[in-house]
Amino acid sequence: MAAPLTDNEERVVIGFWPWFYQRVSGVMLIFLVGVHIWMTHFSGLGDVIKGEQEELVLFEIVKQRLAQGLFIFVDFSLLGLVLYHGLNGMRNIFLEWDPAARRAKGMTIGLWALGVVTFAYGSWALLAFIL
Amino acid sequence: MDNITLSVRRQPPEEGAEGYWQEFEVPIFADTMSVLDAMVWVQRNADPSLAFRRACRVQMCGTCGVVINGREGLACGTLVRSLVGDNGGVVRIQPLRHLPVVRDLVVDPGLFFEQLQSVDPNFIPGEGVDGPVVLSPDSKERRTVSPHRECIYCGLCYSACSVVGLDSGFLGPAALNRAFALVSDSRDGSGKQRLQAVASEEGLWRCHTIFECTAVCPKGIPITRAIQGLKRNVVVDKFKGLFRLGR
Repeated sequence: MAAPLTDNEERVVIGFWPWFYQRVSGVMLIFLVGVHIWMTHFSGLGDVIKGEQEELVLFEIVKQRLAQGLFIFVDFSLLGLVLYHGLNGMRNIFLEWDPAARRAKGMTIGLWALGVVTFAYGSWALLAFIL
Repeated sequence: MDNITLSVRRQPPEEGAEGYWQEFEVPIFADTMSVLDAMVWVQRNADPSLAFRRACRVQMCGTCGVVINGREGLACGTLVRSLVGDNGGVVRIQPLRHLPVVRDLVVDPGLFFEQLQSVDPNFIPGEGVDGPVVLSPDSKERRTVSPHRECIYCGLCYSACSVVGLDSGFLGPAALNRAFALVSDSRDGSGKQRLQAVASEEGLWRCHTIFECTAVCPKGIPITRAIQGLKRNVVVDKFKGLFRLGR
């Protein structure tokens, strides 16, 4: 049985930040994914209708866009947020299986490592446009 | 007189014994006949060894909680007529989930009450509260707290909660609801400690807002709202701490 509250006054709040960031990243993703989809796939819609552009998505336009600081920031933010949101969600699902504390810690470290490697790989793809 | 088939999950008390389903033909002797009435009829007329708990028979004690046709409910508060048609039908009863079965429909609620104890469910008077303090019935605080104090600790929410099924360490809806009732009550002096007790990986953050607890609560307590309220309280408390507000 858990000890009474009076014996645990210094107990640390655990799990708050992953929960909080999951919600913050979710809200930010809704906004950023909207911006991303609009800019990537629909920003040239007017020009296509007017006949000034052949296709909605053109490599040259994507390249031009990624030369601008704002879009570089948006794309890196998207990459980081998607990875955090997805991997933190996976961690939550794994925790449902009630792993032992040591295994849960190892899993968290593993997911962070996977996130860092995937972020590096994603950055490499983005940097090919930027540099 | 119409009959129903009462299909009961039987579990012998011996260790390692296999459970099985047993069917009984039970007459519907009144339109107001409850599932508990049917169980009592079986015990008195067909098989006296059928084990189940009951006490008040009027949905006040929370003792007769079982799973009826796959859904948690109080046997005394569930009318047989609401489950079967005019020509009878099958009513399946099994013990509450996520708790060890002692025998037939009787479960050991020990774990449920242990989780409740971990949030210290007793009122702890705050500083300066040395006598009866009345919260006005029409105050916002009273309206917030009152529904959550109606809990009869029947364990239906604990049984219906999918998260408890996956993680027996999860505090469960009833404990979190009790914590919310006390945290929201300005007369209680242990709000901070209680928030810390529930804000753990196996506490608040494990809840996925599935609403099963709210759906089965025989008292209509908005338990999910309580859990969301606790989350809000922890967020506010955390940021107040970060920015040293109110200290």
